[in-house]
Amino acid sequence: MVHLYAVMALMLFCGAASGQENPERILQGAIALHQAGEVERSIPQYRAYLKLRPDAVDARSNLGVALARTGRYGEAIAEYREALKRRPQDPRIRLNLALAHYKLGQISDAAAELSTLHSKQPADRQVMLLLADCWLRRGEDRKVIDLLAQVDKQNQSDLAIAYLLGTALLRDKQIDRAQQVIDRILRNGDSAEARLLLGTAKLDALDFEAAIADLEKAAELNPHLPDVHSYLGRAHIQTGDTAAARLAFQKELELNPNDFESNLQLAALLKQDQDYDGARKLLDRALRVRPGELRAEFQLASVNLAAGKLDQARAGLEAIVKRAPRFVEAHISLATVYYRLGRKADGDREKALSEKLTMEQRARQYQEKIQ
Amino acid sequence: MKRALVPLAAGTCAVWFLALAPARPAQSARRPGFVDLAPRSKISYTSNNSFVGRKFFPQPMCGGVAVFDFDNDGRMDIFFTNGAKLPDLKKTDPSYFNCLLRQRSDGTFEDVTARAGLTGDHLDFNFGVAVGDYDNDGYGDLFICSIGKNALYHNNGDGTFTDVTAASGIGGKPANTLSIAAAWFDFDNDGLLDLIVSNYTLWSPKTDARCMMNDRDYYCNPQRYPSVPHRLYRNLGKGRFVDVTAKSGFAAAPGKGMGVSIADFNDDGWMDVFIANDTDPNSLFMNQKNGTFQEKGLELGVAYNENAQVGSSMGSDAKDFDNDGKVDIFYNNLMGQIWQLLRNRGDLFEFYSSLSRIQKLSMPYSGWSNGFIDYNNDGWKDIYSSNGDVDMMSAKSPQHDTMFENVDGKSFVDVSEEMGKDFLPKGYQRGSAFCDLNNDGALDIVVTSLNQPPRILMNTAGSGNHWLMLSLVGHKSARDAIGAKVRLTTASGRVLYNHVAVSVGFMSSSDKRVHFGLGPETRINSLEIQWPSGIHQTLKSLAADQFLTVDEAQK
Repeated sequence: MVHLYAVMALMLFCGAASGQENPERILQGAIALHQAGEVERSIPQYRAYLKLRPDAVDARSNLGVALARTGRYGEAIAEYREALKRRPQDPRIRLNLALAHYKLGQISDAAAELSTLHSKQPADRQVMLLLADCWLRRGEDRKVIDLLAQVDKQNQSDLAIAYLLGTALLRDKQIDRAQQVIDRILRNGDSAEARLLLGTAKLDALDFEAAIADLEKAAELNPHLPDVHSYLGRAHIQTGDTAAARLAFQKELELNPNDFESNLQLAALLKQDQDYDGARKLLDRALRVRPGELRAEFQLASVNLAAGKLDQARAGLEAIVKRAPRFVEAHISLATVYYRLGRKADGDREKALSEKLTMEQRARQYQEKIQ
Repeated sequence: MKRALVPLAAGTCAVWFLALAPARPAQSARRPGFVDLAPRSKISYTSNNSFVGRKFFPQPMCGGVAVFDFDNDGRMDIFFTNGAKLPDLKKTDPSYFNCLLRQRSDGTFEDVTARAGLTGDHLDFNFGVAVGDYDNDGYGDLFICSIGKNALYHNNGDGTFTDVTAASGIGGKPANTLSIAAAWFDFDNDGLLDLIVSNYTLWSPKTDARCMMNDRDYYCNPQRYPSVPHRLYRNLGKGRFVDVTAKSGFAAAPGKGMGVSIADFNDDGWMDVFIANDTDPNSLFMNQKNGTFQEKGLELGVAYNENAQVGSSMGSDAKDFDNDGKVDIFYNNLMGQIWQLLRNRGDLFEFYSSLSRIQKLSMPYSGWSNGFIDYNNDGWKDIYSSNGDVDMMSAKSPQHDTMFENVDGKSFVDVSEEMGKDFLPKGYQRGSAFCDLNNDGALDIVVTSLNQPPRILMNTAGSGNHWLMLSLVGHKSARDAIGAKVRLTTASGRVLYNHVAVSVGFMSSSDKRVHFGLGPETRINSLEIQWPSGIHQTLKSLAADQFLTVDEAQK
């Protein structure tokens, strides 16, 4: 959390001569502790002050900052929301709220707050980049392209914008446009961002060994670059080096515990190693980042299936096929669950459905190839 | 009950022991390798898939292998299948002929194909081969899979074979059915070997789809072609078979069959069938003990990978790799896909490729034939695979064989590079069979490679570990005793499991003798045999390093 509000001098001087219960003295003490780095001790002081002055927006915001600094993002969000009720137009509080959501893996909520901010102050670079990052994490690549394409034209030397835009273009399979952005980044010399983009492009082209070389270089140039370890993990999975993949995903999650792909992919690896509890924890986190994401929901169900938690697997898979009736793998897994629960007729039905969907899928692919 | 040591030909031993490293003391167990002895013999066979630039769908599957002692002289012989000219589908010249190599007493091989009547000149493009003594006369017979007519050859016992397909009733199948592999087994425990044929699709040169990219042919995705039922033929005796595909339940579960593996997966005394289906869910036909099977691949966890997706399942084997008394399954896949090691938990199979490191080891390879083979006699079955991509599209397409050594029944390490240069030529390896060609107690491998001469990989046998080789002779059970289960307890109490399995890997048929590596142990406390007939037989206190023939007890 980045903003600690400077408290107005007025507040500092008000009631300086009062006794122990003087609210302003309490606030003064809270701020002094906060500024001295005694964040944990400042929190009860802020709370005591707010008990007496519940409408003090800045103090409530400060409490939010202090709570966030100690990792209590949920409580921080509650304070920011309370503050925004009283001062809904305050961009700093809303930004802090967005960041708290982001840290908690509530990327959709963070994106919503950032969208509000962006609509009011479209020139704010930090807001724009954070919003683009949220959308990337949610897989909303087109939105990122729409957001950044024009800005990128006007800020050709801004490598952060180029990097985010390039990533979105690659993911959206707009390879030619992505290549132009990558070339521009490369002209600025060897950089972690350029290597990351090259690596992801090679990953998409199924050239896994070359992708690993670029991604390892990117990680060497900037080990803190977001996503670099996540992509490296994905490349290692493709070569079958699950041990290296596991390490890479763990590194990414140390830097960014809410990286969706790392949570999802590492969970799949833990499932293979029969660490079902560990896999569930990661998938819970992935689903906080992208609520209802089908791949994560499916992995969670398949973890439950592998762990023999058949009723939980059944419930999860039934919900998935209801939402996504053409999800073949979900039907297959649901058939397995039904068979193991002794519900043969249901198993037969799901199996037949999966076979029908597979046939249709193959026919469609064949048709597309002919065309 | 008769116990007998299989006599070793003195001349053979002398030659092998000169050529190969002598056995070392048990305490200094070493990793053996393999030496190709094919060049020592005049072998005309080269697999020929008729590739001349135009790619036809069946071409990647050529070169089935069988190792069996066709003349019962105590030395293993080798049979190879071959392709045919395309699109004519005829063996227009001897380069397409099948081939029978008889092992001489000096360990070299002579081509006796014509004399034996096995050229197959009247057949078309042949794939797999299955050896089984279907009439219990003591001589191994041959079933050959084809694009067109499959063929059953009866071994006359005098060095010749007779095509008895028409009279047997075993040749029938829907037109244009590609039959890839087959396995003999006694599904109804009546003492007669029945036959399961793994079918792939419907194909003919007329229906061949041509796939091209940048004016270059490539082999089309199998999903372009329909799946078909595998066929089960029941042995009625007196050389007659009846097609029971529909009645038995096999018709209800079509697939694109590749490897076929026989084992009693649920230990109920009745043999079940696993079939690896290419780009289709794999099939596990569980024997219902009444002449019918239920396909339970999905339910038991072998049909799909752990993400509920199909792979390009190729060859398969079913053995107990961790010696827990339950038969596990292995099948390989194309590169980039996971070769699956499926551990039998008793109630279902669990994916074990990641935990065992098979996933990482196998990723760069496209595997075809394969098998569990305790190549170093340490008591743990290792995994061999003959590799090479389907197509010749990149520098990574030609590949060498792999040997993944079973460390402790839990994990595997890749020791391919240590198997010697003859193990490592890159190519498009396809069929492979396991056997003890020189009767030294160490398993050897015969491998085919597309449009190349075969390799006869002799195990250098220098591990210093001990072994036991069993020939089981059924009486109430079928004579070949396919499916008979053996539980061996060593003097130290270590328990090892194996069973009689002939159809192993892809398009191939292995030595029917049951092999055990014993590690440093020289004594066996007990040997328990569960025959397909239900008879249970126990032998006590046996020495290691012997060939033991066991006749099925009366009861």
